[in-house]
Amino acid sequence: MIWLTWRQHRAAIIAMALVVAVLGALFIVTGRQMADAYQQLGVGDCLAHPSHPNCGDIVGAFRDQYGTYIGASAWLNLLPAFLGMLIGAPLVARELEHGTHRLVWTQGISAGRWLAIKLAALFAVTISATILMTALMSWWHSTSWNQLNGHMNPLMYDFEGITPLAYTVFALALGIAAGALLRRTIPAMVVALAGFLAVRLPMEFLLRPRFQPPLTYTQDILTVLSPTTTQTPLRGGWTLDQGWLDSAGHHLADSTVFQTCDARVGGTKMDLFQCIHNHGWLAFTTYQPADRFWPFQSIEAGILVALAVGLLALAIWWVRRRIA
Amino acid sequence: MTDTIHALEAETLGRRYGRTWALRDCSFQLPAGRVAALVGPNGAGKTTLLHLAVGLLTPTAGSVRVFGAPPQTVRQRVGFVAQDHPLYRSFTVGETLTMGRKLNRRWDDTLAKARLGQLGVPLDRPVGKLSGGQQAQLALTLALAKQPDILLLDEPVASLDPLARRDFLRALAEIGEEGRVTVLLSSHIIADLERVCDYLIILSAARVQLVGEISEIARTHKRLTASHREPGAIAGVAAIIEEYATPRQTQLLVRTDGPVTDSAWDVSDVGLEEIVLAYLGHSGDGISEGDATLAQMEVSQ
Repeated sequence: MIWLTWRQHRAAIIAMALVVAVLGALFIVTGRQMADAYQQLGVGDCLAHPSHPNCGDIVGAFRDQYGTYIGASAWLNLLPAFLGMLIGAPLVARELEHGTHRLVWTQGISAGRWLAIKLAALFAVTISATILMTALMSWWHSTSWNQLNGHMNPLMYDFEGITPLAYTVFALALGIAAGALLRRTIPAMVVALAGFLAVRLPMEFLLRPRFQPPLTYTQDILTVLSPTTTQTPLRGGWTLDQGWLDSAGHHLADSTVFQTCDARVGGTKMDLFQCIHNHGWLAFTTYQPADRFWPFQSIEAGILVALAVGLLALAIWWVRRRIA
Repeated sequence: MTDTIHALEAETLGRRYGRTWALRDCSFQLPAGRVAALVGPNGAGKTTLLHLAVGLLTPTAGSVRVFGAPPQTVRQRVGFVAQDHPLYRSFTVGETLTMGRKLNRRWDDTLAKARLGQLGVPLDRPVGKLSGGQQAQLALTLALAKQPDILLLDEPVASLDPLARRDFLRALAEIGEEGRVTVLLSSHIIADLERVCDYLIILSAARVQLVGEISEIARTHKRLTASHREPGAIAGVAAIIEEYATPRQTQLLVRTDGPVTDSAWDVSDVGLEEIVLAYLGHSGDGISEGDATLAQMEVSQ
């Protein structure tokens, strides 16, 4: 059965291995570049010593140079969807399309066992690949971006810890279930992609910000310029929203603030801040703090694994009771 | 048959899809060592019956037993070639055999390779590049190398050209003569089967119409001809299968349970194909209870 699984899925497995190899090489090369630049620009030094002059410029220079790398890495969020489409969707559907389920399920093993062994083998392979990718990306972040952005920022959070594994498991289960129920590969691939996005996007933009009530941090705008800035509780957290509060604690529209304290010709940033300060207005930030990384990872992974288990149970039941 | 364990046994077996019965009240016993034909028009339930027998489907009603056991528990003893002989087209012939070897405990690699060698099918050729006849032979080889005790074939020759059909049936006839394997093959083409098979199951409109040895069926079915009359009861006639009347003449196809001595009727032998067609003709006007019991009676003989 392992031989058969390999023979049928080797193209997808080899493609997956190639993708991991190519990305791995890219991560090692760019990871070293970023680590070197981080050292040379003295980003670490400036972060460690808040009184450091032009820290903003140094960090800005690093972000300008390497921000595109970390930004581009966000596309890798789609990798699990490809596993679901290329390995999950055809798993049952291709057999049903070609009638080969009647060949393979009438050999010496039952459809249930056939499915169980295929699932075990393919989950083992895809989970291993995901663990490797997660380790690579965690290292990639560790030499620079984790110091700058922490672990809660989605660019880090999505590729570290246990959620990448949970997304892989979910995407594969979704592809398999879609293939079993729809009985056709192409529609199952479409559902595998659409279904993945339908869970992935609301998860990041609607659910994750609310796993626990966000915290709010308010500060006088003048203190932003003070040396203690980098020590705020915002450090390493995930910023959800920023804005202004009046002295009574009501939200102020950005337009109100800037129209009132318009930085007139010749007016400096300092004049603007002073004006805001004089009005008694405060800057607020709602955020999820850095120490919620593991609780959030656990909640998110728990939701995804529960969905995956449900989908797999459905697929197995469907194959054993409805098709076989 | 004195053997109480039959190669295949169905008891009031039924399978329903939604509200439609694909197979209903199906009862028969297939003794071991036979080469049996499962005959019926398209949509009669042949495929459903075979899929139930190999455990690809579970019954909605009744039961099916292979060598006295539920199909799911005797996979190793059953060789099956599904309709259109599905194979992995991207596999080579050799890889197809590897799959068979890996998935079956009883596997005769020597037999498989010898058989393909005789047929001139190269092991390194992709299955998708084989002719239809070669694919059918490969599928049969896969089923035979399992060393099955019963071989079930769903329309094995339907998609083959006449030459490939002849070769395939010859191969089956050889297997049948060895007598070690019970064979049940479905077909809607009757002419081919007579040379290969010694047992017949007629399925029509989701029900069994007739079961029995072909020689026995041929012996007990007669054509009766007389000048036009109402048939009424005729001594020696168990059932009238088909009645055909013109103003001048009445022709009957009957099943007999003794010699027909009524001098009013002219008695003649009748070919297997005609008998089968007569039974299949029933399905047109619906199946009455009497027909079901007819099949039951045949079984119990």
